[in-house]
Amino acid sequence: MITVNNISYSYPGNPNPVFSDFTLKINPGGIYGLLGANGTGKSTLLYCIAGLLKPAQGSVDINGTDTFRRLPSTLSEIFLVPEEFDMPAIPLADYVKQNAKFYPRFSVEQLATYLSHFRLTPDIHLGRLSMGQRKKAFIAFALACNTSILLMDEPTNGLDIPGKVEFRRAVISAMTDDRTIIISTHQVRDLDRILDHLVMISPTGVVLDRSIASLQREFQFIFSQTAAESANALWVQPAPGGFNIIRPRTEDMEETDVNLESLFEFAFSNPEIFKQS
Amino acid sequence: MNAISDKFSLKRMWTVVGHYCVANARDLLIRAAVMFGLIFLITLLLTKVVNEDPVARASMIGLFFVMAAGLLFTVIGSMTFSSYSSKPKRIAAMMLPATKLEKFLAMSLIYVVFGNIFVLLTLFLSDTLTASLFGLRSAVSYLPEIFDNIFYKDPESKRFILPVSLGIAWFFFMSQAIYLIGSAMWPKLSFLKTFIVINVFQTVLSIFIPFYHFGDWLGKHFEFFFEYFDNIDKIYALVWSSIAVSYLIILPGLYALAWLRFRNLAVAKRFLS
Repeated sequence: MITVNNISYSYPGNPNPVFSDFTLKINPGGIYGLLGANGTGKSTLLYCIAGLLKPAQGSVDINGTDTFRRLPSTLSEIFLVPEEFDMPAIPLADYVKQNAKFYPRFSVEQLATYLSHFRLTPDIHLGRLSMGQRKKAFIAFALACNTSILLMDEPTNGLDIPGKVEFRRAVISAMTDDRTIIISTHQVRDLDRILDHLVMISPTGVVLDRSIASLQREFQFIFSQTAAESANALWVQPAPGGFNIIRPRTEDMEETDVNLESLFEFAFSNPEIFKQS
Repeated sequence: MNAISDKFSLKRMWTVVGHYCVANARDLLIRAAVMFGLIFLITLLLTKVVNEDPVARASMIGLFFVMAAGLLFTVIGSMTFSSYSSKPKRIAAMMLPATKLEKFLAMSLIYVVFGNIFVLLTLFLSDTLTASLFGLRSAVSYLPEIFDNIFYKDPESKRFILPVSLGIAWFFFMSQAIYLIGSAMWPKLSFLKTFIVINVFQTVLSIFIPFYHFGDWLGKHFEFFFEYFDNIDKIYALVWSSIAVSYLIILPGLYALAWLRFRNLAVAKRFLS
């Protein structure tokens, strides 16, 4: 379990804190979407979880161990895919040979599978790939490490359209019951239908922390060409050709996919609804 | 969690060394080639200037090598944590599953130990190659005679005295350790930043210690320095031994400071954290 205990953090030279007494618990298993507006601390939160930043107050623990200690046993269970990553210009085989030994559950076979999802092969030279291809290779390596926690900061930035589809396919195929994947993004459409859990954060704290299943049970997300269906709606958002509507769901209504964009707007406009539930 | 040990492991430290060398092979080779190229070129030019006189060459090359070693040791010290110079690099290095001490020692081993050995080899090779090009005796071949003169008061009786060269070597190692602290504090543009800080510090110090006092102090010590060769008695031996011991304490102390700074490195750096 990842426990963020009342952390406060501000960047050097910036008097405005990113977090102030921020608390969050993340249970093991599932794909978490970490959403928030620009500058609300999504990346900072991932860095704190990874032990790369030391909160001025509070701590971040993984199974009771403070991550800032950066112990090998903790680091071998966390892999971070940052928005900007470092990958040397060497053959992938050499990169794997030097890095895989630090991750006990690394699988060469899985790496080949994930690479194939991205239409890459294990014999590639990292120095001869485009930025997007390097990112795909890095994500494939990250997934093949089989760490129990995988943190991804804007993983779809720089990926082409097929790459985003391939990314979703690779992440779903890498998912196991005991694995936690936290994806921070503002490209919510890239995460359609792969998330198990949503966490939305703002400078004041957690706005929403709910499973997708519970959101689907509680709300219905529909698109309507007319405003007629907006009776009893909790949220109506004009969209090209009609309206995105969020309304309470009752047992007799069918479950719908969560419209992340509408939910984002809804949650930030009505934070009290999700705080109470 | 798996069974990976959190205790210091020598084997894992060497794995970090290998990991770093493979990932940065290109950069390391370029740096080594530039270093060797410059030293070789200057040695070649100096040899050309005095190629008729092997003793003059040895003297000039010897002086150049002392200066070059001093400079290169500090440059190498400032490169020690260059793998933390940019955010992506810093993240990659910090997320590597090894202890902080293993990473610290691995970087120190690569730069301070292997780097220093490389500098000495560069100097030796530059001298030997240029000397053989001009058909001269290499400056390094004079070392046994120079050592005899420095290490022994009386080369005939082989009476051992504490050498000045040891003091110079310690000074180099101390400078290197200071620049290593600078590298841990500012992995980017470390040499420049450390150089500026040291000079500002010296300037501020000179305001509090008037120059004429400092000159007196220096003169006294230089006098003592030279007297030492002529008056090797118990008191001088004791003073020199004390200085040597203080070096032995200060040098590990500087490395300890660098370690303390390194241990608290974060992705977003504070001046002191």
